[in-house]
Amino acid sequence: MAMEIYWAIILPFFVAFGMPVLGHVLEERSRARGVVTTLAILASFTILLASLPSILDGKVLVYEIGKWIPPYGIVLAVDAFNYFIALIVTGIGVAVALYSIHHIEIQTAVTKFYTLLILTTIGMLGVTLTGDLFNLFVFFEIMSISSYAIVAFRSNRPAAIEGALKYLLIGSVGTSAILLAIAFLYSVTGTLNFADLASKLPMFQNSVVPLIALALLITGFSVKGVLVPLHAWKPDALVETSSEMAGLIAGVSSGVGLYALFRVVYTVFPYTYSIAPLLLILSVVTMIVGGLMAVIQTDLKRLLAYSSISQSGYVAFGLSLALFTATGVVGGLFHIFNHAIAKTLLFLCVGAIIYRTGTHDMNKLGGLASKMPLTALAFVVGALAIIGVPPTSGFISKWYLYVAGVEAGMIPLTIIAIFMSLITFAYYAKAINRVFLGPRTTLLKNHPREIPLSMLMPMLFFVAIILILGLYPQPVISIINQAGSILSIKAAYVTAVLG
Amino acid sequence: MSLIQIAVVNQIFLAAIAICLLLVYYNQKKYPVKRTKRKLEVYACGERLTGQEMQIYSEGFYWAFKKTLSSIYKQLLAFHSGKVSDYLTWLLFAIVIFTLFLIGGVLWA
Repeated sequence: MAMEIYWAIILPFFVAFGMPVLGHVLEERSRARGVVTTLAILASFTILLASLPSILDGKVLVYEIGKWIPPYGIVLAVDAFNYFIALIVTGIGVAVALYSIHHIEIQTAVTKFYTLLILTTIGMLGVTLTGDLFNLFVFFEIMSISSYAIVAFRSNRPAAIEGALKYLLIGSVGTSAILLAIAFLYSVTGTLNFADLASKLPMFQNSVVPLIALALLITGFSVKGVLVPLHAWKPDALVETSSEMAGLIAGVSSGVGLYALFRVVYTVFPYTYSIAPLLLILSVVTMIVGGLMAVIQTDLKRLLAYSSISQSGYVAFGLSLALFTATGVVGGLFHIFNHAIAKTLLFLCVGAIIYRTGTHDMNKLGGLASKMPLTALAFVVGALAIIGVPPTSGFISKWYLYVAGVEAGMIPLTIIAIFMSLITFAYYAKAINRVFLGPRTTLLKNHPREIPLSMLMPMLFFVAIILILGLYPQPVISIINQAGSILSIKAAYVTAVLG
Repeated sequence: MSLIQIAVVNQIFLAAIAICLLLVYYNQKKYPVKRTKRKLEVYACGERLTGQEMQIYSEGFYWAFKKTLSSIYKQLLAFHSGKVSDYLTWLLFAIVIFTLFLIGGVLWA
């Protein structure tokens, strides 16, 4: 019998809380803790995968915790929209944990690192699967607080503390906005269940309180989803974060933030078409600001952080267009997937470069392609996927986004999106040129060589996924297609939860 | 867009790459180049430059682009000041703008 989906959250939770004990027992064996973490997240991924046939049948799976019926009890509601994101979260969590097994040896406080890694993953998974606003807030806080700690992990570096403090302060105000919105909504409707809110909020269309709550929710989720002007914490926070965790925060947590934003906007609130212009403006401005800032960066991690902001704009663009065409849902969700995989891959490549050279300053790097050919190949494939060049998965997602733009009649915005892809090409060309091409710089103290196989394996796995799904995207498209249009998502969700 | 169209675009792109590689291979076979040390040296105004001297610094990349958009970059850099108080001000500003936009949007609809 297949395990219920809530075990995908509970099982890693036990491992996270057991990790300090395990760390005490396995004092000298950091790798064993890494293996346990990898297995815990892999178990979560496997439990989710067991529900794939039901999702492909177009079902919405509802789990009532403690058999309390909704809207009174806690529910997990899984449809194709969030199932896909949950698979991304756990899949990338496994790869990051695997990569860190070798990489973590250069760090201290291994037990804390793995506990935080599991908690971040669980937080993201919980945000994705939960069916009510208060639990979404709780999981959002688990994800946020553990990621603040991860950013501050290298506490001997002032920049890490500075980045973490900025992230903490801005993130806390963002989550406070979410909590305030929850209070407003509860005061008006008396419920926090997504489906119940969706059925009750149309009765309060003349009240201004739900609108204020929605504005607060958009603000709170936009901080994590890095939409301009709430994005500025990200580059400072990611520069001193360990590369694999930077990949998870940049690639996956922004996707989860955007998922939460669009889930709430589309499933819970009735003013869908009034919100569309705001979301479209935010997405296009995010694309432009992130892209332009990435062009002028000299630090590889900062460049990737700004690139991540720009790509969040693309995701938001697709999901905003979902109001007008179902292709927008496909483009947006596929780009969350593509960005998560490619950005994590790029950060893992930066981790490999730091592992061998000790720097991520582009001016100190050069000519690494001859010494680290597989890392160079992985970086180039990741960059091509972000730009959207065939035959990578990025081409599919970007193509769907452009087609959605044309179908929705947003031609000028689509042209801006295409132009920003050229800018994306420009800053990745610069990064590849500075880091991998040309003669090897004499500024490096070490003699770089290829990284160990355990670090290389997740990177090559991502390369394979990017290329395979670029040539044969059908498996991903078939899951996303089950989500259908925004209106059908809402109707199916509400019916399944409330019965 | 159908998946067949995606497959066709992918195949055209891969075929183009394959043709380019074949042309390079054919060219190198027909006109082999002996890479002597002198041939690889870089001369500029009579000076011999090392490879490292020839590399463009990150700041120098796309300088014309940056110069053209200098006024925009000035604003962007001012916005990314690194000061938390600035970022929090923007956050509060966003809440106000979003609220006004939503109320305006709903009233207009």
